[in-house]
Order: sequence, then C-alpha cells, then structure tokens
Amino acid sequence: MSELYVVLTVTLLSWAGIFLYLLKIDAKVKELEKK
Amino acid sequence: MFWKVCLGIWMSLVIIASFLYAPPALGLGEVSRIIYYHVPLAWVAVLAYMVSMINAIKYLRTSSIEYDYRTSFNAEVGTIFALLATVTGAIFANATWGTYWNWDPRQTSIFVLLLIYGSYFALRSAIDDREQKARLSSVYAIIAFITVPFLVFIIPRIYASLHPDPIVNIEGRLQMDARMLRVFISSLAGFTGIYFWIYNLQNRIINLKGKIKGRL
Repeated sequence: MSELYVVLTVTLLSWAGIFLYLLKIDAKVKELEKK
Repeated sequence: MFWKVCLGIWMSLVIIASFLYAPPALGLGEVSRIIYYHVPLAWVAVLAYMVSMINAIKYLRTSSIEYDYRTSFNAEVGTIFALLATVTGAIFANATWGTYWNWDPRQTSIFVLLLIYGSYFALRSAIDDREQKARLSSVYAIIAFITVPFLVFIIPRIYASLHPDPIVNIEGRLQMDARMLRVFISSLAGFTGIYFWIYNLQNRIINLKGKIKGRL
C-alpha cells in the first residue's frame, strides 16, 4: 500500500509541475497580448 | 482563468481517484492503473493528429500560413502524446509481459505511426521555401492521418496480441468495472481539456507572431 502512495505522490507532483508551467506560459502570453 | 484552475483541480482529483478509488483490474493488479494515463494519452494523440489534418485541409483551401503553423504544431503535440503513450505502454508491458518491447501488433503499429509523423517533420525540415513547405507538408499531413484509424483502431484488433482487450471491444461493448469506468472517462475528459488548453495557447502565440510581423 505504501508504494501506491509513493507513485500517487510522484504523479501528483508531476501534474502540479506541468499545471504551474502551463499557467506561467498562459500568464506570459496574456501579458504580451495586453501590450 | 477559472476553467484552467478547475482543470487543475479536476486532474488532481482524477489522479487521486485513479489510485485510491478505482479498484485494480482483475488479473492485472495495481499496474492496471496505468490505463487512466496510457489510453487518454493515445486518445489526445489521435485528436491532435485529426486537428492537424483539418488545419492542413484549411491551408490547402485558403493558403493562409496560420493554418500551416497549426497543422505542424498539432502534429508535434500528437507525436509527443503518442511517444508518452508508447512509453507508458512499454512500462505496462514490462510489468505484465516481462519485457519493455516485443514487437506486439500494438507496439508495431504505434511505432509505424511515429515513423510516419517523424517523416512529416523530416519533410518540413528538408524544404526551405515557406509556401512549398506548407503545401507539400499539408498534403502529407492529410495522407498521414488516413493511416491513423488503421494503425490505432483497426490493425491491433485484427491480429492476435498480448495487449489487454480494448475498453470498447470488437462487438462494441464496454468492458470495465463501473468505478474504473468513472475514473477512466474523467481522465479522458481531463486530458482532452489539457490538449485544448495547449491548443489555445498555441493559437494565441500564432496570433501574437502575426501581430508582431505586421508591426515590423
């Protein structure tokens, strides 16, 4: 069971990284669009 | 911004549900949870290739370079997702068949698909003239997509394979536990949302490029 939680944590962290990266690009594009 | 935050929360819940809510598939054990990532990745690859083909048709009808950028970009996204589906499939293969790669019909067909789209990028990089590159690669993108349904849906169902039965089997019936199916469909929706977010970003960047070029 503990191995399952390790994989779950790694997957969640990976998703958090991808999500924050996409949000960052989105914010940058928005900033350029305003200019 | 609101729907993007909702997508973030949605995918986080899907990930948690895929490990803690959905039961492992009978006979396959915990490794079967990879299905909630492997199949949606392959689905997004097919979707991106289809959008690539639609934009290629639009380019040939209008000669607007924006459609060529979209064709190329979607082919890139499709290939990245197809590669990720191949990697997750190989991880599953190693856990269940004891080897990462054994030229199973599924693996062979995805490999051929990757080669076909690899040739698309080789073709683009081989032509310098922008219009010729756009025209020829658009024709290629349309022909390349014709192979996708055969390589992804038809050929793997014709030949005997070690791959688990498709979720929708050859008789058109759904074969999955109700809890697994809920998580699976939620995951498909989440991955589709991620794809449309990436597509939206790319369209906005293409528009920005056009505006900057117009100013220069």
